[in-house]
Amino acid sequence: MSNLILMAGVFVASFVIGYLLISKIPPLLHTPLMSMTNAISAVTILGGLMLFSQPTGFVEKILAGAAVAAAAFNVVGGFAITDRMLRMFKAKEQK
Amino acid sequence: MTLLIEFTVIFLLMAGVWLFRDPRKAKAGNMSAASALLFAMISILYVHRIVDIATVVIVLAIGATIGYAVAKAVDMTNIPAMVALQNGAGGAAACLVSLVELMRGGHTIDPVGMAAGVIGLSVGSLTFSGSMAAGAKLAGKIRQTPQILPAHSGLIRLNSALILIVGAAPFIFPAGSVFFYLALILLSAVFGVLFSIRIGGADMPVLISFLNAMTGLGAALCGMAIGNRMLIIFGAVVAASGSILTYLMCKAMNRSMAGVFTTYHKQSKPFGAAETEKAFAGQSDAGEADSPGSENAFEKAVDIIDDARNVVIIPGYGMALAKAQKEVSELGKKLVLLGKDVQYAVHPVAGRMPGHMNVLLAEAGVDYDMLVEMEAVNPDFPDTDLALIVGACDVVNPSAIETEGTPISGMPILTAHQAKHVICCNFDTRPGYSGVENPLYANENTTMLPGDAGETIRQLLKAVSGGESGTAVRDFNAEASESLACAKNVVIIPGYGMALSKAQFKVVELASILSDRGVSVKYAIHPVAGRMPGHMNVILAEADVKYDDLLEMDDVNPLFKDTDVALVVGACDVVNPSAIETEGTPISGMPILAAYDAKTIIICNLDEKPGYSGVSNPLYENPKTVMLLDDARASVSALISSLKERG
Repeated sequence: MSNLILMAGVFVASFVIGYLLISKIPPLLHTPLMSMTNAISAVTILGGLMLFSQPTGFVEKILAGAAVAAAAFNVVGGFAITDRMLRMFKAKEQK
Repeated sequence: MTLLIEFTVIFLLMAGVWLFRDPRKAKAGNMSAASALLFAMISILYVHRIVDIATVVIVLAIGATIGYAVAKAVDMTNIPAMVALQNGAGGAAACLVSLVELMRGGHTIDPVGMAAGVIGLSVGSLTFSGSMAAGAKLAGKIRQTPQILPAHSGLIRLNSALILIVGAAPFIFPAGSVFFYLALILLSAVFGVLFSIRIGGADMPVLISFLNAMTGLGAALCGMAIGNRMLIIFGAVVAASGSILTYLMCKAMNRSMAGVFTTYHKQSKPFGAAETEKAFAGQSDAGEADSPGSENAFEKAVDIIDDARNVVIIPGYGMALAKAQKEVSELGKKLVLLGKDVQYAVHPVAGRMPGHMNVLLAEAGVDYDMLVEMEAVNPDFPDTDLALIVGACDVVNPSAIETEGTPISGMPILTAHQAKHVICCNFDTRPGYSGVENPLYANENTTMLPGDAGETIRQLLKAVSGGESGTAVRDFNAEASESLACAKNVVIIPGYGMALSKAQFKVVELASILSDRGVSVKYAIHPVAGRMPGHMNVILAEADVKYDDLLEMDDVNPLFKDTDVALVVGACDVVNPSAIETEGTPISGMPILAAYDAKTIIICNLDEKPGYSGVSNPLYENPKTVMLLDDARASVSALISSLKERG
């Protein structure tokens, strides 16, 4: 039970801190923000990697492998495309 | 040691989000968040000894390579679809990790972890399928308009109930749990699709933000299942971000989230039978005055069409026989261009198979959101200026509801006879398949144009064009370049239409020509312009616009009074003054860009049709407005060359 309270507490605290930080982000950057948070949500890759920390059956290996591949696609693609987008946002040079 | 790594990771993540508040530092923020994830991965590999390192390396390499290649190759206009695709991948990963953990945990996993895992399974799966459906819509693989299945809401309710039952089952029958998990994944995937396909057009930003929040939630739940704090923290941050964006998008459209996700089209009012009979009785008293098929009927019909503000076209099997659907579609488009409200009323049994008319009209290029079902359109007929019947008879025969004992008595009909005017393009005045005479033909409001429907419609198409366009002869092209040449300051308002026609590079070229002439050029960005939050900012940034020229709505609105030219490129609802001037429209109360305050407004839109909201835009009628109706890229290019000629 204490485990549940701890995990719920961690979730709520992170949510609140995230909310406070993110609500200050200007609409200008909403698409890159969404793209970056998208990449962050691929944190499930950690879970996927942990699945390989003990001997696995064939079906499990396939499923866990697919999870890691999908998450890797998401994390690399997400950060790469966010970076590409952000590189296009340029400040006006002072002439 | 572990704790130290964990703190570093969390610090890097939060710093990344913190840095994102400033466009100059956002890139560093992105890197910071990416390195947070990298550190987290390294710590996992350090703490947990990986058994099968070869497999891990191979799948990591495959996923990363594809992800990188796609991210580098994708065109910026396709960003919303790309985000949806990546979101789907995130959902799939959350779902799969939860599944393996649940399968492995078996009887030993504690109830809290199991519950989190089961919910994570469901959320991950529906995020995956919902994102894929949304992505397919955004990429134009499936139609962008809302797709509504019969009893859509009922299906969703049934689906939700099944998800709850199957989700609870593993707790009661642990023996068959794997079967229940797989069933839950399947049901949740169906839910995601049902949920997404009903949402279309300008509501997509809400959907895509919502799905974003769901992936975060899925990751956090997955973290609770495997008992990893980092997953929970990262997931919560993403969920917070998605929630904020969902809320902002709803607010910017002045709609509730429930409204976006549940309402679709207009709710049909219950069919008022008594009212219909009364209306018909009144008409039949006055009827039998006009003799149909006279020489003047055609000119009369043209006048009626020119005067009508809203038109309902009623196709029947006669249209199919005359192969007139192409002509009908052309006429419909022309009427829309003339600013009329056009709908097609399709009777369930019109034609020779269910949905026959829909197929024919769709083939002829009619958007299917213009096709209205009987129950939805019937209450509108008393307010309809013109019902244009093309080869339909029984389905508009008032005898069905007025006379007892005929073969069609009691059959529901399209109550076209309630319209202010009826034009009938049927081959002759003989009864339809039922053999029941149609009293509508003799009605004084009815104008009969007997003959081949295709030929009749072609002639109408030619005659109708003359009327309205001749009234205001303004050389809009000359006016536009004149006002731009004299302007001291210009505000450019981009909308989704600019993205569609990929006009951003031309817009930027125009802006730089103006800047060289000493004109101050700014861009006004409405929060919901485009298909995702900040869509216009990305597209313009790609075209090298400096972000300090991109002004947000609240900052730019006070400036419009002193603006010489507001240049609207493919935007409609976000500059529609009805939002603040008229009560009771779907967009009433929505904040808009006050372009109407500018001295001159140049509009580079494809047509005069209302935007996604369906509310017609009075700005188009404003005498200060210069309309350049064409593909936005072509219109802007024309402006560029005319400015260059002036030197």
